[in-house]
Amino acid sequence: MIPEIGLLFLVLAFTISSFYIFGNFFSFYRNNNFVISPNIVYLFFLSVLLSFLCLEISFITDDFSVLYVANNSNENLPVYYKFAALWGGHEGSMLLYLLFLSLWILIYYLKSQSSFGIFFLFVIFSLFSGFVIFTSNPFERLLPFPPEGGLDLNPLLQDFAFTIHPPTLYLGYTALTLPFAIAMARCVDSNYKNWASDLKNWSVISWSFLTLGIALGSWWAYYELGWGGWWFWDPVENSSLIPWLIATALIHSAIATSKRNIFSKWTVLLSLGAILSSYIGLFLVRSGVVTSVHTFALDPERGLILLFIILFVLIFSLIIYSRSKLTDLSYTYGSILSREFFFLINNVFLIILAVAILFGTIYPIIYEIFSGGKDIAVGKPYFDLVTVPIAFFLAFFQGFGILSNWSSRTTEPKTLFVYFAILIFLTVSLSLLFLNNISISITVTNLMISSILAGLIYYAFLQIKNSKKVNLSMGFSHFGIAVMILGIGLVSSLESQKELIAFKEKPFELENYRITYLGEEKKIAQNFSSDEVSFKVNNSNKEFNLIAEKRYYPVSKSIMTEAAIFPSIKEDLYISIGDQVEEGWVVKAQLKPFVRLIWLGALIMTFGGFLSLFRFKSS
Amino acid sequence: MKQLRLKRLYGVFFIVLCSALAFALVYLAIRDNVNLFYSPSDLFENPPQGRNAIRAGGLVEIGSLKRSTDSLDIEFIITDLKKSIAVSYTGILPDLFKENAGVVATGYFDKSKMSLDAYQILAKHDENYVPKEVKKALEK
Repeated sequence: MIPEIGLLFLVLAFTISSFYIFGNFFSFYRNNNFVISPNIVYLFFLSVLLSFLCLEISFITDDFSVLYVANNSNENLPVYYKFAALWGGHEGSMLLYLLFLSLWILIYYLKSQSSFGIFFLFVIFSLFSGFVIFTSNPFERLLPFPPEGGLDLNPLLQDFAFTIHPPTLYLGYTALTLPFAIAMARCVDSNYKNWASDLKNWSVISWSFLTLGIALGSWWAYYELGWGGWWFWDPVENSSLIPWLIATALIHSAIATSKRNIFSKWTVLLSLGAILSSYIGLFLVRSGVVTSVHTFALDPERGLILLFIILFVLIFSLIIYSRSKLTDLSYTYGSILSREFFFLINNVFLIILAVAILFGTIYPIIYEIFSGGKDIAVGKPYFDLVTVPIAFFLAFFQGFGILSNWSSRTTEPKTLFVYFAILIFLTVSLSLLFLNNISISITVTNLMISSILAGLIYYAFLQIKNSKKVNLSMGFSHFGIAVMILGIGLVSSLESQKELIAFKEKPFELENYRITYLGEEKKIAQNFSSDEVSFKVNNSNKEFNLIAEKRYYPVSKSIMTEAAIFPSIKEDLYISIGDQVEEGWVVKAQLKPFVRLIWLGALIMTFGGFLSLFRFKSS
Repeated sequence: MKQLRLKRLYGVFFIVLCSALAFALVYLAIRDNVNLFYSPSDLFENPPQGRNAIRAGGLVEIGSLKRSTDSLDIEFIITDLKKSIAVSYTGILPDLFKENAGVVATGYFDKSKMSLDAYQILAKHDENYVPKEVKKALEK
């Protein structure tokens, strides 16, 4: 009964949003204020929430007559994984997507800036709730012969990070709908005065969640997949990175629009680009056109419908855009040292980077079409080669960009000199710090973060000297990027590894760690059995034990390795195990210097993003 | 007015220049980093030209996995049930690597020995999942 109620609530939400659209469609250009009663919006949100809860109840109570539950859960699963298993597959994760979208709609409504905004939000909601109801119904039953037990949640997903990484990312993806809706609302309603700052604030919300979600995913992949990598250029990772890059560009463009009344057309187009890029990601992942580590039950029909949704949103928005009367103050960039020009640089490089990554991600599809079905893969070297130079320029120009003034106030050449003096001082001192293992990549890293830090330091100094407010949110976000770049640069150039067969009483060395394989022990957990392989590690001043695991999940008949990690800010010791060979184990031991800075940087960026919202609230 | 136009020109010039450079970068990077997929039969009929790494996929032949006892060297045979080739690899195999299961190996192909020197082995993290390319190769 409960699954049917869940579906009913979902249909109700779909109906409310669709009725709202059709009811108001014809009064579009005549009537400026189409109203919606608050009770309807509450009812709308409540029905999505109840629908979500109904599916949760089916999971918690092991209702395997529901196909989706039977495919993604099992009675022996710990209860918190049963709860999270809801977003372990395509259908449920789409329901989570709808839940968050309706939550943002409610919040936007309560802050109610524009009824046109609500209209466009409902258009998107109708499209996706229709998609879920007609092609991906999570409440579908397996009647009259329900299975005895479930097929289990993919063992890879049975991890703490799985409970938070997808929801965080989805909060970010769904929040991207708001800048889009606001931009469209501005296109039809020229009275929407503070649209640009609204749009910026919502972009920041989306960006902050995306930053956190992507970082959580990277951290998870690092410790769970057992390869010790933190980014794989997998299509799914790319499809989260591309919207993030566009959202970053959008924030800057929207700031320029709200402060200077320039780039307004560009801001509208970027918000369309951001949402479309997230849908393209959705299409790539769910249609199975590219091979990826994130596998969903693949269905070409769904892919086709997603493609249709993408085209619909694109054409629909372009028509509205083309009929809008957006005017910019004028396209002055002022001098080349003005903030306008640096925002232009920022946007150009970010969009080029996003397009280059998108190209590498979909190139296999293009190639397959034009070569008559030949399969290719684009390797990691492509992405490294393309990303690093563009990221270098982004970081390099960032520092002075932070310092620059809007063209209404001139930037003195003296500022430039002082900035470069600090920049050179920082680069040299950082290089001295890493003198023992200096290399080109470390020097480039130093130059990148010195540019950002020099800008931030001098900016803070100037603001305080002139007793002006320091923009902490901007400061933290940019500082976070510097920390992340430092982490990426250092771990990429200083990491080391050793692969061998480890035997008892035969310790091996990795840099200044001495590692001894001690033995293994069989353990039985609630839903898996495991071999716990323990190692003794001696460092110059400390000794500790580490345990790596080989787990066997009987329901899905799969084996999983849990790496043994000794984390610290300075370096991680990372031991993963392969097969047992006679008396020993195949072992891969790695040292990952400063790898934690990557995620620490992302946390600082997220903090910076959320900080700006508090200011936005208080003002 | 003239000055305004000049400034606008700077902006346009900057965008065009950056896009051109990025285009060149993407072109050079993609040229050397595309890994074509081959089934064992493809490798016999039409062996790869050029220096790029390739990807070869199929099922791991039953009983073909040989492991050195004192190093991490591994050899096995992949087959599409018509032809088969040898694969050598050094390192840890993925958890889902199994005989008679689908696998995709990336590496350099040696025509004289009909063997692939692999630097990466992918087996999917799902019991029921066969890599898309392998499935196609088997159905041919």
